[in-house]
Amino acid sequence: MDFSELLAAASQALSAPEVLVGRSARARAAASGVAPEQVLADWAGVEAGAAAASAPAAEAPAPASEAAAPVTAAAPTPELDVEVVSPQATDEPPQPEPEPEPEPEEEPEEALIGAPGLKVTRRRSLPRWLAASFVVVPIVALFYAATFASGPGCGDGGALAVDAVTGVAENCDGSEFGSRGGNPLALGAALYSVEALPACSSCHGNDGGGGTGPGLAGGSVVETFPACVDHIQWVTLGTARWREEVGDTYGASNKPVGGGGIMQSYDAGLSPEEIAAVVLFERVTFGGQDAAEATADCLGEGEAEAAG
Amino acid sequence: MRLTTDAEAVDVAVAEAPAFDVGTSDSLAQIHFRVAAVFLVVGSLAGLFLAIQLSAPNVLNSGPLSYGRLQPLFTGSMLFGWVTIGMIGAIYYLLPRLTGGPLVDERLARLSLILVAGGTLLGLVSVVFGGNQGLPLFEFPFYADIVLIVGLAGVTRVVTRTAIAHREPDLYISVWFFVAALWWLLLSYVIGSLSFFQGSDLEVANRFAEVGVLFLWVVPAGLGIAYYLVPKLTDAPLYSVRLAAVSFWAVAGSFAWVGAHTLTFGPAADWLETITIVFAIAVLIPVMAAVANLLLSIDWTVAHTSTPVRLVLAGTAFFALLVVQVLGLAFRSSSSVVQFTTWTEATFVIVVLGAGSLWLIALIAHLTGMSAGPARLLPLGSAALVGALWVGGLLAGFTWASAPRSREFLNFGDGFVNTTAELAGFDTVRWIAWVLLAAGFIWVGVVIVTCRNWRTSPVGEPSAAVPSDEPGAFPPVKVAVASVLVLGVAFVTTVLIPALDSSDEDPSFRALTTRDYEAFADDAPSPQAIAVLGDLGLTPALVAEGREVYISEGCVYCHTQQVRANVTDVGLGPVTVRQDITLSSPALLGRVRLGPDLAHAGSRPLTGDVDWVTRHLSDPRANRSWSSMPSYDYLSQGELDALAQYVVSLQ
Repeated sequence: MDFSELLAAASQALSAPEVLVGRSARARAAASGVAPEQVLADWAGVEAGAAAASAPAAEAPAPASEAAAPVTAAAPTPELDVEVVSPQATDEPPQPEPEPEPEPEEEPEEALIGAPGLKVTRRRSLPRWLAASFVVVPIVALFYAATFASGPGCGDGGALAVDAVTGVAENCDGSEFGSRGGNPLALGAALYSVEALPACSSCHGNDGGGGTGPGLAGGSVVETFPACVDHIQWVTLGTARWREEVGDTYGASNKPVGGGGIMQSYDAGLSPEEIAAVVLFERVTFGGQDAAEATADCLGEGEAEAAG
Repeated sequence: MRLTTDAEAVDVAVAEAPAFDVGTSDSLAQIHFRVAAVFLVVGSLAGLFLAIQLSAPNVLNSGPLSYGRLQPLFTGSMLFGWVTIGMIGAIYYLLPRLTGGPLVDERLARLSLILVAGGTLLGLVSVVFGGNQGLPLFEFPFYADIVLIVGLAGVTRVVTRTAIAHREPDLYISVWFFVAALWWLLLSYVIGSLSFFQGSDLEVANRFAEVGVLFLWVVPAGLGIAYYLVPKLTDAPLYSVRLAAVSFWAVAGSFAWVGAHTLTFGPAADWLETITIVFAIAVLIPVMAAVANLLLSIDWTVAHTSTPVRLVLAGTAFFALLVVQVLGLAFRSSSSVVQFTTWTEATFVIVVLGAGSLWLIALIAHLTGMSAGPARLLPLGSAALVGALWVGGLLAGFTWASAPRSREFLNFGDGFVNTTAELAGFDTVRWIAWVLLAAGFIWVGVVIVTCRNWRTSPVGEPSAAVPSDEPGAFPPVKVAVASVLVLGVAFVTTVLIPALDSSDEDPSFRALTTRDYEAFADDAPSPQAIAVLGDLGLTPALVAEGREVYISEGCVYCHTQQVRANVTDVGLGPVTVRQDITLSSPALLGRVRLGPDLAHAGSRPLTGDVDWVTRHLSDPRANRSWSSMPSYDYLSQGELDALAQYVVSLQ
């Protein structure tokens, strides 16, 4: 086998371009004082004798050093910053890196080819988590584009509506932001969509249609809580404390607590007036209850609770 | 162990082609590094003084060194002086080794260095002496811009032609990055410096160009260096060439579209915000691809001992932070907290001081044999700086966002004390971080300038660097064309179409426009202006002069003039819509609120009084002990009065 055949064989064995393999083979040969063919034969896994027969080791280094001369003259700095694996290793046959490969099906694609002086670790495929993420990330991005194509609605991501005349940021229903006391329904709307932490709309939907939590629209919230006081107690306690303090079911139809997901307790996050306002908003807007009736029902109770 | 070099130099390609001398291009690279080092020292000192001035506003606060002029001096010398010239030097060093051929037209390369360095110097001197243009990162006056653009065009020509004339049969992946990055830099700078647009569209174009010079120049040029250094220093091929190619196309395909990520809730179209968010999510792909590739390639036993490898790793870590930074600003929910806080300032730190500088210094450390030494301070200082900007920004943002619910407005007037005074600790962290950074950078600068023994390894050396898989499919010409096309498509979709989308020139009744100010200066106010200014008792000519002072003093670096339709900005007055600024150029929207928003300053109690504003400008801490605004007593009384009239005219 002559040099080019050995080069092709070694290049194939290492899955590396011939240019690089040939260059490294010559470097290794000159460094360790053997013929380049010998090095290539080692890497290619060919019988050393075959290589030696066609290219005697004694003759080989000469062309290598000749070829080196003009380049060395052009760049006389003697120091080389390429680290080569220690020469002892060159006497050994090529060995795969002792990396455990517990999963056999990955071997062909992640074959780790090691050779003395040329640590070629060439992998055909990406790590699975990375390849998966290249699919998942665009899907998430496209999902975002499809969901929020027209920009934020009022209440999403902290956005507010803008009064067309004055330009002032305001609540989603057009009332002044943070207008407490004066308009409990508007306060409830702001709390429901933006201000409560977390906002009710994040689970029950902007339009009350539901999501992670049960839907409130179509009157279902009033069917579950015919009396406002129960509704207020539910929002105040949440599922965990309701189970401790009241029981395992809730509402007029004795729904199991936790059946519709975990309800947050707003006892600490909102004042009793604020809870009453958001409950009022839900009952009027989603439950379809008469505003005057609901206000009397909820705010009376709310004030009583606050006083007590 | 290290072996001698002769054998390694035996190279098929070089043996066949006539040998060439890399000595001249190497010395050209060294000249670039030395010039860049001078800008590095200047920029580091400017950064340090800026950080000190936040805690002690009167330190060095004279005209040329006041905060609003030091800021463009800092960003300009760090970005265009240090990182840009340094990376051009790095490319001149690497290209002959990667392409196997000499630099094409070294004379043009030398001339271009003079133009790039000269243009930057000219620009820096003029901003310091009051030449700001009101467009962050592109503050240089037009004459400096032209010199700089001609220089950058020369560099782009040299690099593209050298890449096209490659003798190596394989095209290395770093060459893709270098060629594309230079085209992106050139085009972004042209878009950023020439004001094709006005009003809202100019702001969008400015931010597109900002993203261009940061994410499409510093990042890909630095990645090109990293993809060369890691295989080179660890003597093992890159983990995956295909993955590197993925990161190249993903850089091109994602970063170019996120220009408006600093304009969330802004006056631009809502669909532009959505596009920006979609591509900001896609930024995950190039970052994951590049970071994974570099980390999986590194031999960790080498990483412990090699200073350049550790610097590459540190730069890569900052690159990874970019995902958090960009997504935090892009998403509407997180943006309503972090936008306009110090979070915004972290972008420059992460890209230029973190990733870009560290990748560049890694190569320089490889070439100078620099020991780790004080270079260790650099990742530490940048990390401390990013931490202070992020945590301080989050705290300020949450404080601002929660305040309107309780009818406290912390975004203006005495309310601002809550974020300025209570978060003063983060300003302290900032200047301590800057002491570390300045020490590290100045040390690096001194090493570069004094180095007499540069490593010049022979050509044909990149034995461990790995060529791109299909050199035939994407030769340098196609890379250059593709990179220009990608940027062009991004420009059309995120700047041009939004500009044409609603090109109404109908300013809202609330706003004064640039045309109004031009009319003021000619002492010929429009009927609208007379209506706005008449009741306020303002002098139109002074208001026009005040706007010039506002721009030249760099007030835009601390004050926004933009009210967003979100909870945070409730109480600041009418929301800034496109019509408000459509005839204003530059619109001076601003990015950061280190001081209160001024969009409607003239409508508020104290800032609506010319005398009070004049007194406040000349001695801010007499009125408000917690203020971090520099004292503008170095301005003439006429200028102060004009500036105050301009502030009051902001209704």
